[in-house]
Amino acid sequence: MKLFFSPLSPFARKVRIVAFEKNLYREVEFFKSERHNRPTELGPINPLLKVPTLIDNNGNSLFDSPVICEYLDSLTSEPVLFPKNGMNRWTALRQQALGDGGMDDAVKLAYEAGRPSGNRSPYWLGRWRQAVESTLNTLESEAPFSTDKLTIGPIAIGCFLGFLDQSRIIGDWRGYRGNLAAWFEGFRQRPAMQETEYKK
Amino acid sequence: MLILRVTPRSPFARKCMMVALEKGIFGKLELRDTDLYGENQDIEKDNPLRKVPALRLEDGTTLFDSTVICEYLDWLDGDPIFHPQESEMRFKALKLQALGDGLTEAPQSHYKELARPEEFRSDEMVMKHESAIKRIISWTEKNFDLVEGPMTIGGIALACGLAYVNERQPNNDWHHKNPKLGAWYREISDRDSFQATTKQANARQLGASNK
Repeated sequence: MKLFFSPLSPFARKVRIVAFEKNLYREVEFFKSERHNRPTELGPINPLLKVPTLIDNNGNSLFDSPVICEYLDSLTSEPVLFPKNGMNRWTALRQQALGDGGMDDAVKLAYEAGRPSGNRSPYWLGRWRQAVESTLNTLESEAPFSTDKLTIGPIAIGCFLGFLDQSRIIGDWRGYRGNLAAWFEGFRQRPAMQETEYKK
Repeated sequence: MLILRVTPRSPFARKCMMVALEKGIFGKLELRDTDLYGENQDIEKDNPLRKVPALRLEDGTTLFDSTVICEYLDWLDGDPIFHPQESEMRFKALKLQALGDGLTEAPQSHYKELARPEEFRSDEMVMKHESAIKRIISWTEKNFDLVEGPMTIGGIALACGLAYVNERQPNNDWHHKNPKLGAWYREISDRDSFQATTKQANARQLGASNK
């Protein structure tokens, strides 16, 4: 399998963590896709031109990150990162949506902050920041997240928090969020998190 | 009752409504119109990301985004199944859903960029979103085997995306340039679940249930 990724993308990190946790890390060729090369590299296989994109065992392309993660999960039996049925599944998918949604808004915030100074929209800067903050507040009220039976939920949340640390886009998120901060301090020690951490 | 937070024109809410209609479980949903940008915003209690759709279950649990809600609704009841279990069909359906959702996001971002005051607008971003719409549609026409076959969540997402392109860009003539997709879309847009969830139909429905 071949994974198109970028070291900065929190969505690609989620896939790399899943590959690691599923013991598939060696089955995947990781290919760093630079933004300016994506029309050529990804155009024929993913018109959204986004990383992560996977070429699976059958030579088909797969996207986006939740789809790739669930596919990788289906390839080996343990651990089960996407519970098959019932409330465990909805809890895991809801947590994944919180993590992914937080990342989505944090990434948009980072792009907006990267525009020329006169061109940044105060409205959208405010709205995205507020969405990131209120997602963090929800996570604080729900932390800690069980990792006895690890699912995709805590992985996505870990990638979201990791992106906030890496981008510093909202400054210090830990103040007043002791539960979440303590949980993440433990979670980020996992070998899969350490292996995929962004290093300058 | 399951409470589904919607707006009349949200293409992502439409996906959920179409799944419920196709499965014959629409009666289990109480639709609640949502003010996302005005003075009566209260979506945060159901979804901290402040987006529709969000689904509140009877025990108070909230589910989002549309992919999770659609799968939950699909699981609630039997046939037809929109998330196949068999691996190859399942990932084909989920990939097409990601494509359809990505198509939906392009005119959304395009519209939001154009709606900005001039000083905060970027021509480069407007063009980027504009070309994404074209690129995604023509790729789908070229890779039409992804669309063919029994209706899945992928087809529903794609239909909602194309309908949203039509709504935001009434002069976009993608139908002519992409005949297979155009014919496919004409067929799906005849379905009751599609007709019953247009912006106009939703506005009527929400008006009635708000009485």
